[in-house]
Amino acid sequence: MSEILDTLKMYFEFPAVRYAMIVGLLIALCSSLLGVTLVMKRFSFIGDGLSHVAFGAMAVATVLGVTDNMLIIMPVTVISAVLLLRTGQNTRIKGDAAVAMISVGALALGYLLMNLAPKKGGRASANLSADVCSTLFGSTSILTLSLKDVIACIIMAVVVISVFFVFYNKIFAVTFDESFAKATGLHSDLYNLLIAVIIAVIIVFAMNFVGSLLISALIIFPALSAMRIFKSFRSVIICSVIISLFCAAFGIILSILAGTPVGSTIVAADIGVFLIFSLLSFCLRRD
Amino acid sequence: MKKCLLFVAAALCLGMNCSCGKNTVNDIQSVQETTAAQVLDNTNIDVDLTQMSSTMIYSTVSNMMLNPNVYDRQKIKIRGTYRPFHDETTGKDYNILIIPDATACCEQGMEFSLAGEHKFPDDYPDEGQYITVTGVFSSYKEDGLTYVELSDASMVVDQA
Repeated sequence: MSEILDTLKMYFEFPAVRYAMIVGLLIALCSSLLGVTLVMKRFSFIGDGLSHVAFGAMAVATVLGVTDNMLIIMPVTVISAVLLLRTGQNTRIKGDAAVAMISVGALALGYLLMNLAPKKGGRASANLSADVCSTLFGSTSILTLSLKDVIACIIMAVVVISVFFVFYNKIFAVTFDESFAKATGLHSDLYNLLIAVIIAVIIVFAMNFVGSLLISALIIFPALSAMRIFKSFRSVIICSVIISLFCAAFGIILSILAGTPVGSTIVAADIGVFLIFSLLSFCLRRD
Repeated sequence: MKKCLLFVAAALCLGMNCSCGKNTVNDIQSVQETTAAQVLDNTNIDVDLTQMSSTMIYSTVSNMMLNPNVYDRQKIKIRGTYRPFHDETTGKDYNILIIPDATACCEQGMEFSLAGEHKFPDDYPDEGQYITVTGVFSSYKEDGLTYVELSDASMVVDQA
């Protein structure tokens, strides 16, 4: 045990590991806050769709040779989130079909562009598999963050948490009964837009954490686990946050100790907690 | 309400510009460990990658590529497979240590140059053989690109 602690202590002397832990916990916190709302609004799969859009946008940025690819990824993902959440139910292509279409379409085009990019410049494609692997599965992206990235993530987290607490009652109303909220004079479209923008921002940042294929797990598993046991909105959110933080910290530590991919390990921890909570829920119901 | 939204939008833009940019990071690694007997020079090693997990090796080598100045002149010990490379355009020969990641979907090459006189191919292992290299980390520019290498290095070939 002391040997493991010594190893862990040695690893935490690397700034990259400390940055990963800070960013990981912040992203886990933000995603779990919004996760409950998305699950209850039946938008669980939007995380997947938007993360694939972000992947496609990253491919475009790579092809165009944009140094700071966030300048393309962020606006494209935010616009897609707004379109999906606001107009998805009023168009000829309904919500779930629109998400599925954008999800697979962006993924396919992104991968196609990533393959074309090196040929265009005549460069070797040595980094292609690494870029794709890292972006899709978040293999170790989180362990290569700079201080600038950490600061950006802290700003994002402060904004998301502030918005959530300032508009807690409104988000609650929109989440449970949008029609009633609208009837009481609440600008539900505006709050849906706010939720869409925030979830897009979280997803873009979370791409570095677990990769674009696994982001949905970060959003839905803590919320679903909490819902197994707790029933009120507030208690579900609090429990969801605790589960998400625990799984993120546990996943990061286990992955650096055991040499497993960071994103997959965190998601595996989330799945484990979900199974435990499901079992607990079953036992409680029987009693 | 509108003021609040404007504030949120401004703050998000600020966060965006700071960028969490995951630039393309090359890749890397393996989790294999080496025994002390396999390595010639174990003294004063600043970063011993042979004692790390594959995830940490991956991360550390990526950071070496992204921020070579941080590791400049540090003594690095690392294990991987050997791959010689001949550049047809310049006529130069390079010795590369290949570090695959745990799933082998990504790999990272680290150039090294052995201390003293060595003749290729007699003094080098076969391609694909596992080696442990200990050398001084440095970076150099060639054709406008920055490359990293382990210079003044010693090499131990795995006997397996």
